[in-house]
Amino acid sequence: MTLAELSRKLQNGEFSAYELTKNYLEKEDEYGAYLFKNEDAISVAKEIDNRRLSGEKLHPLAGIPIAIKDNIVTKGMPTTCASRTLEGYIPPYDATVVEKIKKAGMPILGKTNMDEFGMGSTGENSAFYPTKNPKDTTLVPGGSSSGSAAAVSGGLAPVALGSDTGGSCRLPATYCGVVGFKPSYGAVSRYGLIAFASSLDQIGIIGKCAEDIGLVFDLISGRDPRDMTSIETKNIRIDRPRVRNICDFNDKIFKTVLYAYYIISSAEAYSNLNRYDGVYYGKCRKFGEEVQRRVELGAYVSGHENVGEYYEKASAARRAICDKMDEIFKECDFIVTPTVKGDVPQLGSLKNGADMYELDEFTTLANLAYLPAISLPSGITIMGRRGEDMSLISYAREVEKNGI
Amino acid sequence: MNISDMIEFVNKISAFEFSKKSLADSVPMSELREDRVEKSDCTMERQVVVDKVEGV
Repeated sequence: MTLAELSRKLQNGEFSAYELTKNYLEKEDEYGAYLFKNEDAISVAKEIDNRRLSGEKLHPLAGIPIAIKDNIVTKGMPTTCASRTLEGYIPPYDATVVEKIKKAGMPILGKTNMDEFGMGSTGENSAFYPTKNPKDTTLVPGGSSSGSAAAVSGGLAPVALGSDTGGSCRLPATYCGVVGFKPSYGAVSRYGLIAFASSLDQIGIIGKCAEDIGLVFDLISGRDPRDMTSIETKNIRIDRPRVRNICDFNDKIFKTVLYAYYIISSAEAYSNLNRYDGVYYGKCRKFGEEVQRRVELGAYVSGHENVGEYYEKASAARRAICDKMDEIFKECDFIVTPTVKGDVPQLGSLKNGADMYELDEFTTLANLAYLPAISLPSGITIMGRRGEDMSLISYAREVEKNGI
Repeated sequence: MNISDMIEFVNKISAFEFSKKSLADSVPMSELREDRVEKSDCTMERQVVVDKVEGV
């Protein structure tokens, strides 16, 4: 059932927010989708029911529960980034997106599993337990927002928040057969999102259809004085969109995307993760293998002797990629690419890190170029111009109905 | 995969040449900051952003 249908049924009294939330909370989590289930969601749902009964006008999403990725801080609720480093951490404040969700009256079902600190593309790099793909539990669910995608796909949440640094909403959504959205850089406040790579990170949404994505994006987006990179987005109606396919990308600059992404994201991860307890000279016994590897790479590529050869070159590549995308978007409104090459990998089959990194071949482009992108279960990703997120979501709705 | 394999993976970037313009302007956030200066409607934040841009 879509969020619009759930909203209508709640307003018509066909079921209560209490019944809906209890139904989701009581389902057995056989996919390892959650790291923490929030029983307090029941009292929030009951309060929404009472307010509705008293005739109060509520937000359309009031009473519809939501799951939240474990790298978005939630006051009084554990937030670990699926890392032993943050085990037992209870944040004293809410992220801006969480404040908006609470204000709208959406009960929070819990915190979803993920690859540690968002580093991974398969959902197997959680320090606690891997997530399984609800479509086939022998396959990886994709990462890093593995739990959010599995929760929506497996009927454990109607919608979920994730985060997307290099494809972390779009890849797991595709593998789990749902819709993943990475907004424009700055469209959703990052205040309260635990940083992995600050110039690439963005809070995203995983839902069953593009319409659901639009409803939640409308709620959580907007300028936030606590995030200096946040922007207001525009909603431009495009009647006859001009669409270009990935096959048009023959410029060699696009071959640098993956290397530039891994250099920049690792350098920023090295900078961001050095703050944690027990980290000495970039090493920490509590970090998992993948996190440790990226922090070490970040130290190497941004070190004094190597910065010119790696970080500065990667930044130059990023600038050239942004210029190229600006040029392409002068002649079209949307760009369509595959989300990922090949079949969904088996759990435990990607032993070599490079194989895993190549899963991000198509998705990292949108992060490097600050663009909004939405992946559909059919296996395509659509990108739009920066700041025109709603136009992109509207186009994705058209594609869901009529194809490209 | 160990760290040397990972360095080998990202080493592939050295096969590409970049224009002088791209190399000279290799701080991608600078454009965003300038963008925020134009669009910001908050005086105090505007001042902070201007300081950052000048400091780059």
